[in-house]
Amino acid sequence: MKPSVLLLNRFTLTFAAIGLVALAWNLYVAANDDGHLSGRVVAADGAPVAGATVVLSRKTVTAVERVADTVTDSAGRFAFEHHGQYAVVLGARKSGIGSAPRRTVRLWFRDQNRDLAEPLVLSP
Amino acid sequence: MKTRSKLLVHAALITVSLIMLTPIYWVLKTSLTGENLFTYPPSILPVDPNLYYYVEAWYSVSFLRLFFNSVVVALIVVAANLVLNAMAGYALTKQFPGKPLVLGFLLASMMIPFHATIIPAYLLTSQLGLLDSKLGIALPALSHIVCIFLFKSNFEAVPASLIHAARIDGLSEWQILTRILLPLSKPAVATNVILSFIWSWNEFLWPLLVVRSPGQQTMPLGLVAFLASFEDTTGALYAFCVLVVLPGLLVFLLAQRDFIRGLTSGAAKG
Repeated sequence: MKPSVLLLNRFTLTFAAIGLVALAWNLYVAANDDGHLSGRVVAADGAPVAGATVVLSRKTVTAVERVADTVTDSAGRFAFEHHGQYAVVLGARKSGIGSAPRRTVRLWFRDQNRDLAEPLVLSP
Repeated sequence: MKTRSKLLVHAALITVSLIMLTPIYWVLKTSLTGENLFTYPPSILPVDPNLYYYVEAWYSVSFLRLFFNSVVVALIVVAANLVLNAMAGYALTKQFPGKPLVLGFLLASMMIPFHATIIPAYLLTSQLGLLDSKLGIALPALSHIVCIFLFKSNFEAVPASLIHAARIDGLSEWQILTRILLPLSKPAVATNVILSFIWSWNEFLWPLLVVRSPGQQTMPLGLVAFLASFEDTTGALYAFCVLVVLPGLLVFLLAQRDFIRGLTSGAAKG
């Protein structure tokens, strides 16, 4: 049997294509898995809220477990590093302004870097 | 056939196909939407489909370990089936004393369900020291009688003059099998590969009995473990089901042309 017949048949090509896709995906994951999750917290009128507490939690079968928390800077921005999750629940609050409803953020892989486009909105 | 009757036949075939594909579609749809099975009224088209349930299924269990175990067991089964079934099939094309008895014995043993022989099979595997090992999982599936007869009927379809010529040229029996008969029986090889792969991939009862450590679990066992641990995550469960089924489906789709030829060729002989 010629080597070209072994190499260029639908079995080899299909599994080679799957292997290439898996390799490309793993390279992408390796380059983007620092666990950097950032976003903004704003008030109901859209103004950035400094000093708001943002809580990152994970959902289990029975409960929502707190993983980490942080405080927003003067621009209302927050960031978490190395959160180690593939799905997180974010919540924010600041006394005197209110709290943001919990939001589930699903990621494509564990520790995926992501900057949230939609801000967490505090309301009384 | 007249156009009208052709249309009727096609309409009937399409209807039956749709009925048979509906459960598969439903599993796929649920894996993308996570919609509860008891939602009423059910949505026919997926609402807000996404692949996040696959991510959840991937991380909820040690998917790569389960997949690796299933692949290793399937490779052992496929390789053993090709070698053993081809050899047995070739032997059965020969004339030897007691051949009808051997054929009768093989055919009769096909009628005994595996469940009836599972205790002796377990004891044998135990005495061989193969419990909780991949070889132990593969052991009862190393040869299938159906596949032996597939090879036999395909080999019998090869002209005898070709085998005589090969023998005159000095080829040994093993060389006749590997260099003449097997290359001429690609459909039978494809059928063997598909059937043994799918049977091994989907096997549940035997691995359940012989596997004791999570490190040796195969995909169907992982599915049950997943079901037991995460019973309220419908979407992830169905995503896991799709991931279990996908490799078998892929192998079948790749080899379906030869598979169908393998099942039909030599059908009149045997």
